[in-house]
Amino acid sequence: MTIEKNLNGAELNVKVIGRLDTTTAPQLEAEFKGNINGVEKLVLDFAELEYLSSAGLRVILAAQKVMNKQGEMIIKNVNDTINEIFEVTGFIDILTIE
Amino acid sequence: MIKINHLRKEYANVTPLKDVNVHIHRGDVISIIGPSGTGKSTLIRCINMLETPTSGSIFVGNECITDKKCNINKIRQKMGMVFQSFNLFNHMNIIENIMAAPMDLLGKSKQDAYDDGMELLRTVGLADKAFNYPDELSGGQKQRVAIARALAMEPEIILFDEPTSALDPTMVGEVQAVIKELAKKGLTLMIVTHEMRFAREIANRVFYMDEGGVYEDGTPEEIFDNPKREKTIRFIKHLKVWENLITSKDFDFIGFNTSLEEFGRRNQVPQKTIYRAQSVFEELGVQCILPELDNEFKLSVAFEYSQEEETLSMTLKYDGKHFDVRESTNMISLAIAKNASESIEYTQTQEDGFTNLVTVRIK
Amino acid sequence: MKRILCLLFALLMVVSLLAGCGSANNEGIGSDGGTKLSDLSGKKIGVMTGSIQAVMMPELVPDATYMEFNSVSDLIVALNSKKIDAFGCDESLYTSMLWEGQAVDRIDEPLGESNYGIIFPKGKKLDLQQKMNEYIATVKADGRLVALEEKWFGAKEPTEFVSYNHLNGANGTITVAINSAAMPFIYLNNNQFVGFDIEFITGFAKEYGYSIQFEDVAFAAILGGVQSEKYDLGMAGITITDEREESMDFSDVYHVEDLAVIIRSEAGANDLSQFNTATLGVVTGSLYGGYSREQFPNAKIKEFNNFSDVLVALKQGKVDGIMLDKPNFNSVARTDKSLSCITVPAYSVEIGFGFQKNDGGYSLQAQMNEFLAKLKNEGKIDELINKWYGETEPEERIPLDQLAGGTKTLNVAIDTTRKPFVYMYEGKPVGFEIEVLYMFCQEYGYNVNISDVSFASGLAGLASEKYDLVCGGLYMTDERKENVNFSDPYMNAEVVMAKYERSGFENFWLSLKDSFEKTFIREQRWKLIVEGIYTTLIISFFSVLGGTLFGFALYMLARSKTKWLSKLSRGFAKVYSTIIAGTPTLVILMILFYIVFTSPDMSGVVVAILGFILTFGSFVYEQLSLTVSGVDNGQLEAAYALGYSRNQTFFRIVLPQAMKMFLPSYSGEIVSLIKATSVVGYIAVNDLTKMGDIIRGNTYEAFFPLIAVAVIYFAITWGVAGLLGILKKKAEPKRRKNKNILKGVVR
Repeated sequence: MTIEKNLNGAELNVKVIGRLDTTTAPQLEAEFKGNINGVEKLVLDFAELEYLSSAGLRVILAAQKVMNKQGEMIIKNVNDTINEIFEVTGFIDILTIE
Repeated sequence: MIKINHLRKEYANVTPLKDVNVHIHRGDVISIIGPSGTGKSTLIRCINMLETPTSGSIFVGNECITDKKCNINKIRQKMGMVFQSFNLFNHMNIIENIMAAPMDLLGKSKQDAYDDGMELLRTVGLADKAFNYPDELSGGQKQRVAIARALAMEPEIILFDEPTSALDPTMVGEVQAVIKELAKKGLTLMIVTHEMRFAREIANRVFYMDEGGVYEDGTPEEIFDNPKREKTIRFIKHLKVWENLITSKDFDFIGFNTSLEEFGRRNQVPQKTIYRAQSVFEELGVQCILPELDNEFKLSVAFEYSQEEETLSMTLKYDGKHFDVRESTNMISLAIAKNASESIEYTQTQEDGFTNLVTVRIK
Repeated sequence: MKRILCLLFALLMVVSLLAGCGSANNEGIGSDGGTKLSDLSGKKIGVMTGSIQAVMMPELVPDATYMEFNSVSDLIVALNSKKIDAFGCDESLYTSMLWEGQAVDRIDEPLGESNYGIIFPKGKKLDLQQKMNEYIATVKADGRLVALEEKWFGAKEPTEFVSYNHLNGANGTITVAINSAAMPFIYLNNNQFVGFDIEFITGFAKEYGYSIQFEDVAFAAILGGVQSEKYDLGMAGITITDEREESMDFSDVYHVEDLAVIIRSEAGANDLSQFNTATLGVVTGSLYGGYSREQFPNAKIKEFNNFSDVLVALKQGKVDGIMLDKPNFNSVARTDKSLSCITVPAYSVEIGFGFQKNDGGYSLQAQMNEFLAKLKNEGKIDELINKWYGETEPEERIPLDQLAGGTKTLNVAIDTTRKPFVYMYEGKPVGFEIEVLYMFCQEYGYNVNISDVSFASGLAGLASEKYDLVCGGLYMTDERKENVNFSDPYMNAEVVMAKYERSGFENFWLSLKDSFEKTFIREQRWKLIVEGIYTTLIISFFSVLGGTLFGFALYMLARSKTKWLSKLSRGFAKVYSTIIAGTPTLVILMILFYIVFTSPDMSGVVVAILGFILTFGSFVYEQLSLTVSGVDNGQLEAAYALGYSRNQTFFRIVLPQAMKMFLPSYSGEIVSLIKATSVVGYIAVNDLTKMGDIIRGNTYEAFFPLIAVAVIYFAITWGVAGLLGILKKKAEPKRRKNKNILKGVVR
């Protein structure tokens, strides 16, 4: 999995490329832990995300909880499969998906 | 008509027939199918003693042909054989090929042999080739002549050893048509073949050969539509299988996924299905089941893909305490897994040291 | 095909020219006074293997290079082709070489002697030995031996021979081992053995009531065969040596031979000695007949009716030279530059006019002599000689018929065949003598009445006073002087030997004809060739037949179902094939002939057939194995599946298909076998090659006999290959006609 970050003032754009599963989720978690402070808008770009498992979902949920206090988190460019996962797990109500 | 008892054939490196017991009745048309190297050809070649059994006995009628005293040549005159490589006699023309054995072995007069031979040639549609030589004929024509040659001896049973395997696809039909006619006429036939449709159409009995014997024996409907035993099923469904045994919680997950991906690609499994399979395994296997297992455990993962039906299924077997994965508290994982599956089934089992069995049909 | 023939012909030309070149030998070794033994130092000398000369020559000329040869004819060929410069042999051989017209000389120094004896098995046949020594003593004493020597070692080849076929043999038959390439002791003439030794032993057999069975074998085989008691005695000009006496018994000496060293003939192109052993042409009854015989005693003389005939014979190569007077030669040579002459200094002839031996004749003769003297003084004679006997023929008429007004008419007989003395030009007589006659008549006022007759008739007419004067280049011999009154000789003419230089091609063609005649025609040698062909064919045929049966039978045993039989056969076949493959066929034959079958009744032909059966049989076995295993196994299974037994399958299915691969190499091997039979000469079988060799030994010709034999072999193998080709075609399954395949079937 590859992570591309772009900090624009208080806006952090994070693009996740590849698979977000049990082995790669910790990598994203570490990424958020370090860089999320002081960010008012967190944008997650899932255009090139191939695969998402529950492990990844938990990391996203944690990030959502933090951003709820600091500002907002938006997830964009979600494909059908990933969208389906958000739906059946009920995450679709918790996350802001564009 | 033919009784085969405890037939065993050993070679130096391999034993294709371990213990064969079958009874063949007059009028049977038997298709013999199975993977390569399972002794299909060996079986019929033992029946006319082209291969000598290592042990066991074969009775043709009341005669024990495996006995040393038996005059096998006389027995063979009552059995015809058609070979994959035709094996016509190159130094004789077609009609001579057909006349030779009846004249030499049955004492038929030249005139009778000629008349009957021409009649047979007409039956297989090659009367106009009577004076050609084998090397002037196509494969399909040669095989039809070979059949006529076998018929000329008026045999009680004809053995076919992969009669169309060496033919161009365009010629397979003409030979199969001839064999079908023979079946219709009520002749006793045994046909080793890879052509499943043909095997099903023509036979009243099918032998699926595997594990050194007749693994399953039934009617075409039974074998092709309702195979009972595992290997038969796999064969019939052209099932592709990939298995993996996990014994450590630190197993190579990435490697597993890569291999699974490769298995899928190899068998032309759609990409989405591969993802779903990976997802189901990750959610059920890694997220739900793995945490529940003891430190020393066995977790078997098997994927079966049927190219015919284009369905992929996963079987998880694990030991330790009984744990129905469907009752896992990991709701997110379950939800994702259920979403990717047609069905998830759980039973307790006692097979091979496992205690839990989960079968998933993946979308 | 045409191209092949052209190539063959060209090849033949090249070979013969090379052979021809070899025999053009104009250099001798020594120059003046003949070659001496010391001249041979550092040269190449040939000897016959195992002969006494092989031992004696190196002792006489230690620092020469020695080369060994198998037979006398090989030595002669080597000498002629300059491979060697000399060879040693018995003197009587030298004499017989001269019979055959070989251009050889011998070194004129005493060189040594060898004693000849007849050999017997050591310590055996003592009764026979005693009788032989008795006989030898008898014929020495009563002069029969000397007579025999004179007959066989003389200048001329004997033409009468004794027959050994009708001996009564009351006391049994003796087997005598001989070698028929030992001229003049033993050789073949008209398929009969002739020679000094033959006559000697026939005499012995007659005296003691034996009949003879001759066994013609190689020289070494005589010694070996007598030692092993295969023969009762052996005789072939065998020299008694201490070494030989250790292993066999010798009779007393029956003949002593001088050793001769033979060199190439030292005749130069301008040397009369080139005619020593040539064929000379003479006109019957002429002077030159006697002169030729006198000057060249060893030459062959052919007689002709007249001069034109003998001249034609010279040009055609039927004779090598003719003796004639120089003026005659000059006139003949004018128109043919191929003629050349060599002066014969021993003779010259006086030529003059002939007159009657009576008063009238004497007075006429006196007038003529006067006239001739006058002409001589005036130098006229020389002028006329140059005119009439010179390079160009005068184109002039002598107006003899215009003599008129003379007081007397002379009856003159002229022989107009005596060019250039007297001959016809434009229908009128001309020539030296005619011009002299004309001038004479003018001077003394005579008319002439010319009669054109042969000079023999002219001379006769003188005696009967029919003629007054005879002109015709008359030779003034003492004999004639008794009946004829001659004028003074007007010229003393040289006598020359004329020869004809032929072009290379003519020479080639002539030598070819000569060779052909020697090889085939003379002594009906073609019969030997026919016999040789017959023997070669017999051996080949039975060997192929036997070998095929043997090989086939062995193969059938090897594939037998009975395990022990098949194992045994295969093991045997493997050992046997390996031995055959590793041993030269000739060695196998010799082992069979000399070691296995030692009985003298065992004919070489039978042994040869047995030997070739072994070798051919091995081939058949191997080929069968190979081609049978080449038949695809599937067809065998199909046959078994139909119910064919193993043997039925073999004969009905496998063998016919194996034959396709088998027949080509089979026919090739048959051709090889025919050629391979050429070695049977070594085991005393007179096959085609051996016959060629025998002829070669008798004629000393290398080219023709060998080429002829080669051509015959080629013809035989070509014919056999053709026949086999037809067979092959017939055996091809696809060539069968449908109606034949389905004989007896109504379609």
